[in-house]
Amino acid sequence: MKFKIRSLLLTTIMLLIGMHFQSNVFAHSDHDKDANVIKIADIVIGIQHYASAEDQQHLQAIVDSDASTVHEKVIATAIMNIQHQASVGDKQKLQEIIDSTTPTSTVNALATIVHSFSHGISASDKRKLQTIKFKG
Amino acid sequence: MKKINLYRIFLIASLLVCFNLAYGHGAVQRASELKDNDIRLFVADNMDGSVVTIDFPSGEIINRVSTPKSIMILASSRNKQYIYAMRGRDTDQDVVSIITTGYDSEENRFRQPHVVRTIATDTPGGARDDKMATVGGYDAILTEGNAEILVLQSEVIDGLSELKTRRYKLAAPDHYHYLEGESYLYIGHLFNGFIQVLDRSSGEEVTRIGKCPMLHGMTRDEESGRLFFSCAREVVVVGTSGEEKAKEISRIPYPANTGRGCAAFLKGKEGAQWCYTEGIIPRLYRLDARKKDTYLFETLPVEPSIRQNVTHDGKYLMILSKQGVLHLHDGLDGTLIRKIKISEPFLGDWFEDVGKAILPDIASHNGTAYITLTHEGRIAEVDLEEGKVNRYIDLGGFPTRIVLLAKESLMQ
Repeated sequence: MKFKIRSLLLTTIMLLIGMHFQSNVFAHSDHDKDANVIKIADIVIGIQHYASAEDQQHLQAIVDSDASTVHEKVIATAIMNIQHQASVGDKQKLQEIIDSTTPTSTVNALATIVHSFSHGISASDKRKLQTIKFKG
Repeated sequence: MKKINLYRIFLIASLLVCFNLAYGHGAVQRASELKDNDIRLFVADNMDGSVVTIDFPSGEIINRVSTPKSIMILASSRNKQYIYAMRGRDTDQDVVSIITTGYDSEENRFRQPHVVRTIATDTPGGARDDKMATVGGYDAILTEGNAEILVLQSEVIDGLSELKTRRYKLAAPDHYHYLEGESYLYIGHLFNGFIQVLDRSSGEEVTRIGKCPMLHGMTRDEESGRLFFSCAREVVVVGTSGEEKAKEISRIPYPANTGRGCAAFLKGKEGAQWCYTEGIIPRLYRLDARKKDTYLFETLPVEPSIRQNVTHDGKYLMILSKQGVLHLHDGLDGTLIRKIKISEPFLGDWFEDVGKAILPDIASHNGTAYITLTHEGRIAEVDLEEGKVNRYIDLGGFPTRIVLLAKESLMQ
């Protein structure tokens, strides 16, 4: 019985390792696009001064979802709280994300844009968000 | 009285002539749209699935041809008269649009490109290095959904004429990696892990060269005629002529501890082949395809790169880093020659799936490279010898795939 459990465990581990490295082989596989990041980018593109009631619903869903990352929840919360600009408390949390992530990462870009939000976003920030939406 | 009536009739007639609605479209002088240029660039803009035509050296945007959204492949026909735009798979309808290049051979100048035909196909593919696959000199589409090679046997494609076709049945629906030999067709099957060999004349299967799991990517050594199909752990070498025709010659393992090595090949100088795995990668592999008895992979470490290509003569290997820097390497031995800052960094992950093309592209001609900057909505024209960006051409949208047509290659 012990032997069977060990075999089962080993097989499972091997399968998981195999699945992990499989992505290197599937050059055009159906990579899972980050739906939360795309949604956040889409919302920020359209915000004027503060998030609409519909945006608030989507953002709240991101905050409530177990599938969302901590960074996504912080950014979504900061957007929900925007009143012409992000709150001081949210700005601090966004700054922590900016400082702790790679400058070229998508989440860093989102945090930076929300951090500097002032009534709306700049044309270059809009382009960045559109690109995030485009590529997923 | 009669005089007054006549006067009235004349007046009314004059007014009618003046305001005559029948004269809605007056005659105009017809103007020629013929353009003289050295390079015509076709760029897939995946914001809306249009193909943008740009002429050089003027840098003028000639037009945008609308095709169904989500272009995955942009490729030129064998005779360079047509551009094929093949749709990706983020919708449930697959189509191929055939666009004229606009080249007028009688005038030796270019007209406006336009779509001449759009045909429904089941998961089209087969093109490599921005060129269509061919069977016996005709353009071919490998339809991966219904396992066929669809050969378009019409020399001239227009909207009215019958499109002559021939179909070859393949082993199974799959993602194909195709090359043509002297008289046989070699079709690598990704998931099934074998190379199916078909007789071009009869269409009959000759053999299957097998046990090559996750086959993705292939190239040919022009000198020996040998084909190289890359698999998960090694590259399979297949002969195409003489005694080695349709036979497995050898297998070349990837360097140890580097994981998968090749998903696509680039032809460098003097038989050197460069290969890479798609996605953001930190290394390339070099294979000297002329060393027939001692095939061996070497590793070229590079910064995480988002796109790679070679110049048409193989002189330079061009690697666009995720930081937006073009690294120019020697096409023979990989020595770094210079770095050219092209754009802002590419933010975040850039994983291209089968939905549509999202990655930037690089094309070059006579020392000038054209790079689509998908994230910035523009194209950079780069002087490779001088190591500088000549100019940017703004397209808006999300430019991805490029097909470059040089006029000198079209002239009879």
